[in-house]
Amino acid sequence: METAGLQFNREDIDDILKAGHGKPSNLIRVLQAVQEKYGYIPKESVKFIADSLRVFPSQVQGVMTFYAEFSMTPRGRNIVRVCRGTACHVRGGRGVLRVTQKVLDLDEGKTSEDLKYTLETVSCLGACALAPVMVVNKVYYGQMDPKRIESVLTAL
Amino acid sequence: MDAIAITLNGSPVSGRPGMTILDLAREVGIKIPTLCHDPVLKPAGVCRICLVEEEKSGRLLASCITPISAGMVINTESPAVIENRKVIVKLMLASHPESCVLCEKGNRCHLRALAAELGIGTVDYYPMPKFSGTLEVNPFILRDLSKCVLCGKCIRADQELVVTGALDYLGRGFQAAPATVFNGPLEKSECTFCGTCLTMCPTGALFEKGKPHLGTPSARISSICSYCGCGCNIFIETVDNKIVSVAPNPENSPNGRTLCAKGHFGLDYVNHPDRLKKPLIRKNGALQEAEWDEALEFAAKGFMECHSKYGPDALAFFGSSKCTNEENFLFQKIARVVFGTNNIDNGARLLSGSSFESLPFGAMTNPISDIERSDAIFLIGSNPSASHPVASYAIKRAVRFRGIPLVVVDPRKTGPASMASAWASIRPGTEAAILNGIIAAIIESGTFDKAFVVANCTDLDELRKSVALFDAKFVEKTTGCPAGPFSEIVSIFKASQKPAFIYGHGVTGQAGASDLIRALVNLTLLKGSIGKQGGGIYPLDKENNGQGAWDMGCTPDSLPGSRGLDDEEAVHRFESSWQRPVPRNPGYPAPEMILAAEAGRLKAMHIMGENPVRSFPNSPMVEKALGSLEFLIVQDLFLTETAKLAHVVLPACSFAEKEGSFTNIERRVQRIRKAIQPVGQSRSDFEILRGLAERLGYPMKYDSVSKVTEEIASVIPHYSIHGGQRLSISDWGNGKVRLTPAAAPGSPEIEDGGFTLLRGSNLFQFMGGTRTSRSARLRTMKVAGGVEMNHSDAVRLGIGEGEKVKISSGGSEVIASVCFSDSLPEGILFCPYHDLAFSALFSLDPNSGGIATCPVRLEKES
Repeated sequence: METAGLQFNREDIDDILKAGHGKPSNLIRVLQAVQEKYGYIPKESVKFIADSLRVFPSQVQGVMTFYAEFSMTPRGRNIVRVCRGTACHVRGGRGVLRVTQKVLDLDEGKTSEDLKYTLETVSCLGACALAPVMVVNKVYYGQMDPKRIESVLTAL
Repeated sequence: MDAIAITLNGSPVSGRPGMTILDLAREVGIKIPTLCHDPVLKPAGVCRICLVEEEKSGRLLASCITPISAGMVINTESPAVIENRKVIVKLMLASHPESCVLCEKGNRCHLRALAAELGIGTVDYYPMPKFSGTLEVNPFILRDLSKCVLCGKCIRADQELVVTGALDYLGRGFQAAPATVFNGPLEKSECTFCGTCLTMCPTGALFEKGKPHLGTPSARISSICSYCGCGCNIFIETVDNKIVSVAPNPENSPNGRTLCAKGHFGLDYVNHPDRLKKPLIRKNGALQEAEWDEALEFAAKGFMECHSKYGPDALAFFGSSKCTNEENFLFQKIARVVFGTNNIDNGARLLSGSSFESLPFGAMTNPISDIERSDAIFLIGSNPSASHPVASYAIKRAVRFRGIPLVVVDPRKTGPASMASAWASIRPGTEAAILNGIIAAIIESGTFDKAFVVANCTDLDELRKSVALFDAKFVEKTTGCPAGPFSEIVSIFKASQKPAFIYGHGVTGQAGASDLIRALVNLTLLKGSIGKQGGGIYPLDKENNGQGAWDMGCTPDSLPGSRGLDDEEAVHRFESSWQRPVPRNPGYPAPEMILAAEAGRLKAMHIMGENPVRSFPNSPMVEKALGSLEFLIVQDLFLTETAKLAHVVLPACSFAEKEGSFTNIERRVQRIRKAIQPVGQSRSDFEILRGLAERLGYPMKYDSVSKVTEEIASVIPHYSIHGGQRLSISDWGNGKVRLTPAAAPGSPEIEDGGFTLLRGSNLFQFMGGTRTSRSARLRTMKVAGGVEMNHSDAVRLGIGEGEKVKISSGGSEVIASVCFSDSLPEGILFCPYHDLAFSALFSLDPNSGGIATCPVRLEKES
């Protein structure tokens, strides 16, 4: 993401809204682009997104809250996702989460106050052969152990 | 199109392409239970109750969203279907609270009915009721989402029928619920409290607040709403002679499943403690209770005395745009036949008189539903979202779902303006100039309907000359509408084949209203937008029976059926039917009655179901004029500001307590029915008039209201209970219609630092508010009140929100508190009709300014 922590400004999403071409079917794409820009969907943007795509603000909210992908609260500049799927669990996924929580001093689903990190869990990342897996931003890290976790996270 | 053959429950049947399995099953009489399905909503397929089995594949399909395809073998009642249907209902019941005993939905709950139908007595699943608290503080709707089955009917009704968009799903899975944006309370959302969601909810998740009785009502009586002229068909639901609630009656009605806040929740005035229960007679200067015989005797004697002392034309009769056709018919008959005067008018005079002067029947040329079949909508001087909500839904549906371009011409950014393709904010009073500008552009570019104009109209050249001056620059200078929006508007008109022209009080409340309507008519004729499905002119200016009161001849210059006093054939027909002479000289229209009373030329008045002290401009003057009469009879529900001045007050029934008919703005003549017994000793206006006529020596031999209905149908050939038919060009008179040039005055002089004050409708109060101010729930929604003004005007004058200002016009001054409004441009102020305080600023004299606009000065009150 470009600019986590950025204040919402109508002009900043002009290009994104234009790319929606006023078609309701582009809603998810527009939401993704807005989230990419701010790290989350700012409340203030909902009305502008709705108006530009000719849908109701309530409909935008409906789609946003249906998909786990979208967040309505600010998220950290680094998104750390720890897999809690079955394969990772068997290979010690719970430990990976515990260590990560300790290193980041963060609970699951929370964002640090300085907006540096957000810690999330996911049900599967589709890389079971590398279990236990975690993803930091868009990079996959496999076969994690406490040392590797610490070095990955402190390098951020 | 080819028929599609399928097998349904073992029998071969065939349907048309695009039909769903459910559609076809219903057509051939096979019942499939549903929960989320409703014919007026787009199918969603979310509840899965309508499952059926495709026997070839063994798949279970939701029949409401599965189109039929050739060769399907469908079983609607296979063991798999029944088993799965039961499981779904049981799962719903497992998450549903066991509160049926207390539930408002009572025996009308669809979930309970489904369980009964499927024979589900016990739910053997672990109960997991959802918990839900509601935060509502609004006076109309409560939400208990623990009873929500997620059928989405409220959401779809809100988005598809009313086009408000206050609701959608929030979250998913077990947490999902219908919610407003950011899950706030309804009153902070876009919700207009039309109550359509209540009507659609299959369970008790949404329910009406403040009902005097919970559970199933014992009777439902079909009637017609008594507020605006849309004429919504309603059911009045009663228990023990008390009105409990109102629901829309969708059968062949203008409103379908929708209503508005007033119509749905505003009937509590009927049982208000203020209702007059006994007649009142003025004795020694004070109104005292009396018996009916005495009161009628007294009223008849008072009027007869004035009649013999001063002659017929010192008497006047003011009929009601709220009373029934039958009552208005009798009323004008008494005026003309018993007293021999044409001094008779009705409440529709002020804000609809100009429509009646300029349009055939003064009415809409097309039904409201035609708005959705037009190809461009032109909305001028009207805020239907507040004044005629059901018509506003049609406009919004047309724009949202059919992509029909909407042009709004209004100084204020009113409700639908936010969805408009073009909004021209013009100076009040300059509407005719922008219309002439559009006419000039259309004639110039040759984009008018030449064939229609040649066949049906005359004087095109004269019209062309009269508008030659109105180019974009001139229009901008006169109206303040910049060239950009103006050219957008013109190009929409050029492309349109059947535009719909909708206007309201912003037009009819102006001094030059007739010219304005003439310009609109010219535009309509030029586009050939008459007599087509779609297109047409739609005045949104009347109350529930403004049309009927006029048609019944409660007018000083025409007889029933809009026949002029100079129409010898009609006059003779009425004379032979009534066995008495009909006076030929036209009488006073309503505003002149007041002026004549003030001047002492009028000595006695009979007012039925109107409260002019409240509803007319310049209330103090009206009060003084009526107070100076020698004799005043008032028939009303309440001791209104007008009734307080009367010598006799006769307590009348509300519409819910009587029989008769109302004619809506589409000219549908619709029946109202008695839902409850009269409150106290009140009588219907029909009975009161019949009683009076007898004591006046002209006994009326009607044993029931229907006898009057029959007489009306016999003297006005087109008047029988029927749906309003689309008018054609031949209804505009014999021969061709003249394109009459319309004068377009510049904006009225506004002195430096002056403002224009506009008066208009409010969603939660109806006109003067005689009835809605006595509705406990509507009163709670009273908006901030006071005068609305633009934020930058306020900053310039150093006025903060809520602060007091002094507004003056002519010799009158009013102190009001200010509230800011985004919908107003600079220099414009707005106040609602029902706020009596502002009435003094407006004038009753049509030559001195509009009754809904006036130039004022405003200063901060220190």
